[in-house]
Amino acid sequence: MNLDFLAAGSGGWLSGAGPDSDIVVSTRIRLARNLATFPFSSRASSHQKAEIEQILRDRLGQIELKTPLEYLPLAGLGPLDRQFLVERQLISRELAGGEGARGVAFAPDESVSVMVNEEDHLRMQVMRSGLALESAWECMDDLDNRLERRIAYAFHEEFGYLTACPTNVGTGMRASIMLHLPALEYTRQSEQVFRALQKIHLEVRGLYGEGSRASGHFYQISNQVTLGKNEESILKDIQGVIPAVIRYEKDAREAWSRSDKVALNERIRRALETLRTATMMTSEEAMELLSLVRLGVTMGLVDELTLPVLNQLFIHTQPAHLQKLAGRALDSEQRNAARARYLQARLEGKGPEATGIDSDSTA
Amino acid sequence: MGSPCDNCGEPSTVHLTRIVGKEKQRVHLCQKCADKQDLLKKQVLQIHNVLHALMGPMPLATLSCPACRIQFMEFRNHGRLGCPHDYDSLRQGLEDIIRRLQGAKKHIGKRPTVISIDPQQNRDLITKRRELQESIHAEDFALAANLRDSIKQTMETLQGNNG
Repeated sequence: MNLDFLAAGSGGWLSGAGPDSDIVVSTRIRLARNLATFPFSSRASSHQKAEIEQILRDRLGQIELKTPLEYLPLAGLGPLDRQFLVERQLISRELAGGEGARGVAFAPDESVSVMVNEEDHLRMQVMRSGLALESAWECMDDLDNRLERRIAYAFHEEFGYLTACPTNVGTGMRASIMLHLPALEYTRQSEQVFRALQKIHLEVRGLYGEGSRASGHFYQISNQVTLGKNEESILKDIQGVIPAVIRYEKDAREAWSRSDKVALNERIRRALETLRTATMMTSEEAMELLSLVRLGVTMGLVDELTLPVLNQLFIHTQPAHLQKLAGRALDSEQRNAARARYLQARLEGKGPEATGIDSDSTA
Repeated sequence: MGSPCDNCGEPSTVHLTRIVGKEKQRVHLCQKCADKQDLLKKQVLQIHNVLHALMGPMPLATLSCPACRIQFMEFRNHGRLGCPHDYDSLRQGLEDIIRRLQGAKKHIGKRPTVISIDPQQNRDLITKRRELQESIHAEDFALAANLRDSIKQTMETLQGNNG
């Protein structure tokens, strides 16, 4: 499969649609499952991993879904393509950096992806735009049920679905909501909110999950506990706190705007100006500036851009995406120049295909 | 040369001191006669029991899974289990970890509805898969072929059952 065609678009979950999509970017639910008759991936021999991949690939091909999944083996994929899939959130960094037989099956609209031979034999995820736990779970549950008819999962009467790490045992479910919380961070209230969430066993992580920094002021809130609660009540716990987090962010935005509207406006306009005119830009700077502009759009201070375009820019300015869009490998300096050119073009209203990203970058 | 065996007169290699009442008795036996009387085995067994009583239950360092052969300490160091059966075979060490991580001990969510699960059979298959790898490694191809056939057969039966 050639991944280039994906580069110019973005997953449906970034569409900027759904309730409270000014703050809630997306919803994701992940299930971990394992085959009952094989060792876990990390202990499986290369031959066993190939067998596991074959079985799962086969079963994934048999299930009937509205949008069929396409399987992509990772073993033959270069580092750039693997990084691209990570930026796209279709695979984890662990799968990208792993070895041996492994892969991912995903729907063309990127709403469903199933990793094979990650830490667990199966890591299935459903992505939705905005806050949509219920519909995401419905889809996830259905996919799981269909696979379960064809695969003997490792299941224990007491411990539930068995996973390679006991942090996932039980439901094997991790539900997470990605939020954009710039005002909480700028007004230094985020730590306080996150501590309160951790007290009720919810975890807060950055854009790319475990161990990643919260670049662009994006945070993921997810359940910490997978045992001793059923799926519905885990989802309810998360669903229950999100309105409060949204409220805090909205209050922080209002308070900021009330106390210092001129300075806030100035800051956002300058961010936009820098994005329009810079000739070199690092990934971190782009994230920071785009985050401010996104805040401006949602507060009605910037009207020349829309949320879907901005959401897309966060992903398209990542290193592997830039190289895919340019159609060739770029070193870090070339990427900084390409990133600046790409942003300029998109902010002038051009589409991702017509950005002239690969004009002479050595000049 | 020591004393001859009390039983058969052969040279003795096992010397025991038995205390009956206040009287001390020396017993000399050859290996054969000692084995027959199960004397040594009893002694070993007793020592094991004494140690066990002194040290409490089996230390976690000696826990391992008979199916995938992972040791509990390997799991402790790397954070990844070896196979689904570990939840039983390493249970003694895992229970506490799970309780601390999860604050709970029992799953109460979704469960598979279709597949009938036979833990014994699953464990046997994981064991055989490991033995297959080992036999290939040891270039024992006859054993490898046997194991492969046996795994294949079980898997086909399983799939037949599951439709």
